[in-house]
Amino acid sequence: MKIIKNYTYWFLLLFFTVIGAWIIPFLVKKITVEPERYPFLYYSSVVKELCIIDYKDKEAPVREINGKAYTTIAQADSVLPLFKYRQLLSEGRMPDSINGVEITPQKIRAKSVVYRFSPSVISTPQPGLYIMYESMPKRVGLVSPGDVFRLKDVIEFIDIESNTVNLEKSELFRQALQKEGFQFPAQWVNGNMNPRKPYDEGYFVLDVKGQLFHLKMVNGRPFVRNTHVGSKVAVAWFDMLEVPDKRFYGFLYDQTGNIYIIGNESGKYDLLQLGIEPLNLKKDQLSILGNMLYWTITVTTEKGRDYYGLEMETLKRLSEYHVAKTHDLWEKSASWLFPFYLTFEDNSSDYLYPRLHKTGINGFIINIILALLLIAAPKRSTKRKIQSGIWVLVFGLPGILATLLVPVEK
Amino acid sequence: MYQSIIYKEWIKTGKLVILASVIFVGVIMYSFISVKQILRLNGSVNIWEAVIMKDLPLLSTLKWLPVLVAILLALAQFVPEMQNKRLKLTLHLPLPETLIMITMLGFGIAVLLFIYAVTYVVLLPGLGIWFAPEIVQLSFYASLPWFISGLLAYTLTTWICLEPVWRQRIINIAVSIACLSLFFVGTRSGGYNSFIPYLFGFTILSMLFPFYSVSRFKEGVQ
Repeated sequence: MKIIKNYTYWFLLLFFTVIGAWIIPFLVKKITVEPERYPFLYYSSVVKELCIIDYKDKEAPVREINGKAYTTIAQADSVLPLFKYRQLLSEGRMPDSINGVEITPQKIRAKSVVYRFSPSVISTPQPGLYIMYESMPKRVGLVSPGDVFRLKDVIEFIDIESNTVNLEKSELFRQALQKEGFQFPAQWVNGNMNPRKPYDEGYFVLDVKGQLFHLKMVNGRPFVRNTHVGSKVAVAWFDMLEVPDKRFYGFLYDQTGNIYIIGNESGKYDLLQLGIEPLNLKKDQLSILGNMLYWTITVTTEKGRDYYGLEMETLKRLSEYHVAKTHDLWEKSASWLFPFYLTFEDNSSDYLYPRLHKTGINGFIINIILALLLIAAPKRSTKRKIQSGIWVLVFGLPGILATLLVPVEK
Repeated sequence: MYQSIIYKEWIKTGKLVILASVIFVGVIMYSFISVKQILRLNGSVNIWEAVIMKDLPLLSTLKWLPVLVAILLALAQFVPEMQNKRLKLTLHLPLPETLIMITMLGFGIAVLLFIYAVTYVVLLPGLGIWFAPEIVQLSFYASLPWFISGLLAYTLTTWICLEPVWRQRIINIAVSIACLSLFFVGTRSGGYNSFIPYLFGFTILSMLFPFYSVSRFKEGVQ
């Protein structure tokens, strides 16, 4: 019992310290964290520059990144006709054309692209079952097919009502995949299962050899194409986006974080790279606001936020702007209170597990002070003081709380 | 002697174990009725799609039951031991104290493991009648943290019960609540998959905690 007790003391100390290293920073963060304040930017098709938009700022609702300000709401709306087109239409001030391109509300809507990427899209548990809609439905709107499919080592369609494998359909799709050169098992399957989309393009599937295949169901028959994208880039991820004008299938990410669109024209699956810096797919967030002439891209990283204005046809970079991250009270406090702390959740993932965050060496100053205070305190043996001192030196605030809260063995 | 200790534990907890078993049977039956009802009212296609696309939970009625039963079992086993310091008598039985404690803890953990295992053995194949193995697996992963939290709640409650000093008990309760809250974080089904080995490992190691309390009890800490 004595031996068990000795070991258990240290284990309890570790347990209290771990809970403290999680709960104390968690509470400090609750008290001190502030929202990230980044400006909203949009690429103006009129002045051809990224503009900072803040309609609460009555003196300059819109300001170019080079500083030129537009001081009235009317001026601001005019500078952003493709962003504020409904307002301009209601006021009868919408131009007929921009840069020689005819502008109509229908065209604006058809060419509009809204897209967001977060690392949690990749780092999330997948059920491994997918819904295959009919891509050429006879009536408007997508109808639930009544079955789902799994695609890993094999492709199997499961009839939902009977909960049994539809052997005939499964074999049909398996043969179609193998005929096109698909090598099982699949690494991942990506598509948009939401039926509220303008049309269906099925799924993009990465096979074991790194080849990307397009899979959908047309008139009840399998449609499988090797996009050959896997021969051009090392595919990491794909996000399907059924855009109204069917210009592209979605966004492809390669292993180095470059982003491409896969073209949906003449069945060639052409890649077109976005003119932005590579993303860290485990940490960075991205949003795209595209119109019929330009795309505005926002990338949020650990260092701040990068804004890009791209030309819509070529996706070449026209302008860029960086806003550095400001350290809020939480980050300042954490860097002094804890050299490191523990969390179990993270915005970049739907998975829970212990994550150790380093805040810097400043926190060790507090650790040293706390360790010295503990060593100077009476009522403890020299051996115990040294042991506890080392513990507090390493673990700091959670460590000292643990040494005070765990009853000392005799 | 072991049989006598186990019999003693049964005398203390028998009624609760039977009651807990009945409640588990009731909840399992209710889960089946509930699943069948949503399938009937909404249609299998809609429910399958809701599970796949929106992560609709199928076993949410079970969420708090394992931890609740575990806490009650630990209380039934160890509160009587601490009344009038009867634990002293138990520890004077002609067996090493460590083995006495292992037998008592082993009884509780065996009871919980039996109830939890039977629950899974009935529930998961039952769900398999209506759902694909992937969905059954998803439900298993979603509910596994709740069952592991039951085992941990048992060892932590035992640790708290056997602690002789009330002030320390309150500290232990606070730390235990914080620890158990980790098992109930709202995330997608399967979000705990990489965390489960940590939680399970810690649960096994936490079986040492009650020994620390017993040791303090024996030392006469007030």
